[in-house]
Amino acid sequence: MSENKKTMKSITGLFGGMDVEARFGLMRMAVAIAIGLGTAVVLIIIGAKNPLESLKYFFLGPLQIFNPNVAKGIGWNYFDQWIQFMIPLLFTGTAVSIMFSANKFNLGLEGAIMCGGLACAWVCCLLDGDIEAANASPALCAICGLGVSIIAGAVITLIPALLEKKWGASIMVTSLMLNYISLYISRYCLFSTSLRDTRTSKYSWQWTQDVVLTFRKFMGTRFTLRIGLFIGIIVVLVGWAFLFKTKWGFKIRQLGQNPNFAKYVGVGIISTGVIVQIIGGAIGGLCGATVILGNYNYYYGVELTGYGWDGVTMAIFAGNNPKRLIPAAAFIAYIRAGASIMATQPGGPINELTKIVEGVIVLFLLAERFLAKTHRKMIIEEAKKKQALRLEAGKEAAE
Amino acid sequence: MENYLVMENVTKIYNNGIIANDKVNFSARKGEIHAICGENGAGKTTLMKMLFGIEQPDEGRIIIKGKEMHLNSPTDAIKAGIGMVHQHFMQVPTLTVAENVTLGVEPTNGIVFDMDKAVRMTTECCEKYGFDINPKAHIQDLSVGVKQKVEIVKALVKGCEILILDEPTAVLTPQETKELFVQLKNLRDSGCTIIFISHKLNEVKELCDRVTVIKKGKTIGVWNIKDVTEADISRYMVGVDVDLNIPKEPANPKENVLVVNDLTIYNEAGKKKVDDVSFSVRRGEIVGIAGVEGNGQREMIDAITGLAKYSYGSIKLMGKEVKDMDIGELRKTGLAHIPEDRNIYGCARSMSIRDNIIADKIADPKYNNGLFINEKAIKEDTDKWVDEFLVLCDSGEQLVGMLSGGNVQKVVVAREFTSYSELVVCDQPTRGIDVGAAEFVRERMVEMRDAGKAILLISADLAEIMSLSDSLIVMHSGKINAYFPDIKKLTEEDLGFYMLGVKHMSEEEIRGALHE
Repeated sequence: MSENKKTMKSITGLFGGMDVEARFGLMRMAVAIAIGLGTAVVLIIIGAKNPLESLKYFFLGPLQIFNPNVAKGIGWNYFDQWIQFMIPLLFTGTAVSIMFSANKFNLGLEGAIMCGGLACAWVCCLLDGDIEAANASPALCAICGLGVSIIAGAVITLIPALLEKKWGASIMVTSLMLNYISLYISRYCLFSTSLRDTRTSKYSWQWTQDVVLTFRKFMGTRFTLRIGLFIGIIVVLVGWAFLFKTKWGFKIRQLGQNPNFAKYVGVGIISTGVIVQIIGGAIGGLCGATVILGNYNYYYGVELTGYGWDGVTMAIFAGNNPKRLIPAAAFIAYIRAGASIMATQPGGPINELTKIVEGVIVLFLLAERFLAKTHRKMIIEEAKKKQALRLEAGKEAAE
Repeated sequence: MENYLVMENVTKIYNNGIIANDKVNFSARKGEIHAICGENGAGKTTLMKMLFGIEQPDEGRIIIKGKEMHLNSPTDAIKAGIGMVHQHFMQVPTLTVAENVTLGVEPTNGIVFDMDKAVRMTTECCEKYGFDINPKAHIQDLSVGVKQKVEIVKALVKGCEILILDEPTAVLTPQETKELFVQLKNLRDSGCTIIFISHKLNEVKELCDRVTVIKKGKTIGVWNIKDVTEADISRYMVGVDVDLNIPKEPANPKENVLVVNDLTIYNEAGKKKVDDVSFSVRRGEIVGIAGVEGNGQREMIDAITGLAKYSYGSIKLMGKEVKDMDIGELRKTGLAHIPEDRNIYGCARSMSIRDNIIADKIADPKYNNGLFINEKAIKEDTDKWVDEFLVLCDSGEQLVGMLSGGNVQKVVVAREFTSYSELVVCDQPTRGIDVGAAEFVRERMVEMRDAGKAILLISADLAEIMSLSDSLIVMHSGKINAYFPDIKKLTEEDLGFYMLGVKHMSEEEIRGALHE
């Protein structure tokens, strides 16, 4: 048998060490992305007044680290926009990956983000807002805000989990409905409680003078430093370690891969199912707070953010493995930034273009029969190769 | 007609890369019973699935009555006159025999189902081929043997001329088997071609006209049955002579590990499935449970292994009542369990061999430091076990779904036999795996017994249960019908009578199953 092992290793070609499935997965991803981007190019050529210019902004825009106009006080720093788009994707991707790993299709991330943001804003207003002369330091403000948001997010996602545990209510349905409940809680708080700034009657009270988690003109340069990016990367790494390096993560994956098996080897399937949703919600809450504290110094949550759905896209892209979330988030954020930059140019196509690209890619990633024939061919080739090698090894052994 | 049915150079490669059939050739004549023999995993079932249109060949041709056929679905196959009786019956238990038999070819009265006509069709078919079935009976009230006849009639009603039987005797008692054979011979004489898949060679020898042997996905040869002996076939199948007798010393039972007392279980429909059963399993013995499927064994084992709850009585493992324990606690108390269906409970196919073997032991301090898992220790131990349990694979990182059935079972056995158990429940431990792997698993069970574990064995394979068990419990309609403290004098035929409930033991004798 050891003979066998050696020969098996020697047959790997271009993608050293990968088995058929991994190779096929990569290929499929590459083809899906190519089709998605191809669609974008076609649409830009059809829709833009000046296609070449638009394509340039779409593909290269986000690489422009310093925008000379920003110094003059106009426009955006394009690179910063890329980073800004990437941050929520890291959080939501991790949250959804963990929940989907356990096969818990809790779609209540939107609600968790909403509640997290709201709770954070409220705490910041209390600690440092101009409601009454509260004057905590911005750092304390941020830490308390983030902490409270985690709890708020966890609590709100716990509701569908408990409803399922207790009465078998479908998580998917209850969590979706809860998103709207969260939205209306947020609106209610904003319009009918002491959170509202009585002077503007539109936003909440403001907290510190500056946006807490973002340092513009960092270290004297025109570079913008977003603490949220680092928090996001930490969440991804911790999420990955949790899922793949701890016994809890192991149990979660067992539950997701085969719930019967998980039950049979002694995983508490109900408690594990509830725990992953609490974790997912907590990350969602943190995401809401990070976005609020990274971009605003007031709260104005009257619409759903859409970040929760992005999480589903990200989890599909990353195959529920947070390790792959950083490149995946970078990619999606890049095309979003590119499209939004393109859209700001005169005559550029609308920025919803990215939704089409994302949709096309996800469609091809999820379409089971996509490239099925190639897949079969690869399997058959591999099987025959292995068979030939086994025969050879057998002959050698016989000699 | 030599070439009534021909399968020519048929190749099938599954998505997990296993070459199930490699240029297999098979042909059958009109009006013969043709056996296909081979170890499990040799590719018999795959070959038949292609003939019945469930799978499509990657290469090769299927020719019926001189015409090449493309069978893309069972519907195509049925149209071509092929019928198949699966190992697991495809029946609707709440409907009547006539309704089940005419499923797919329902006679209608305008737009309404015509029950009278369905009954007439069924009766005609039964009379023609000599089956004794009541068309108005409900499937759920029938015994396994009758259900099987219904399955055959179902195929015949649709005008089948080639009938495939996949391990038809696996669930039958010796008496039911005899009856089935008479009917199959009648069918053959009326011109039907029967393909009989079995690894019970004595049955093949008794029933069939010719035999095709398949080994590792390839055709080894075709023989007239009178030209070969059982030993010959076995040699062609395996390549070497297999000794079916497991060498073992007489048991030396010690104290009780599992005590089941007055256990009664009602199923969800409120039907009593296990009725006041008491027995015990002691350290150092293998207790076998025999019985026709559906006589309460399933429910009882599910209760003992924590997969289902029970209604009355008690089950004590290592002296502790298990009623309120979840499976995690049960395993900590000393349960190991080889489940009946390795693909549903026994493994996570999309996880690695390593993850599957370590699955129940991950909480052990040896394999994690409280926060992170210790990958090095896990790799060391699982690699050792993979070698020890002869799992044929590229590495421990390979996904279990990529392995053949026998090797998947070895992964399950490796996990369960290395857990910290006192009681090992082996539920159909060798079902559907090749002879070599089965022998290996059986030897391990005896080793575990000698190492002082208590072993509870449930198997539909009578030869297995009779060669392995030290004592034997027979279940019939939810009760213990017989208990043999020593099975040396027991014959297979006698066991059949107890399984069918024809013979009963006295209360006194049955009470012997519970040791104080």
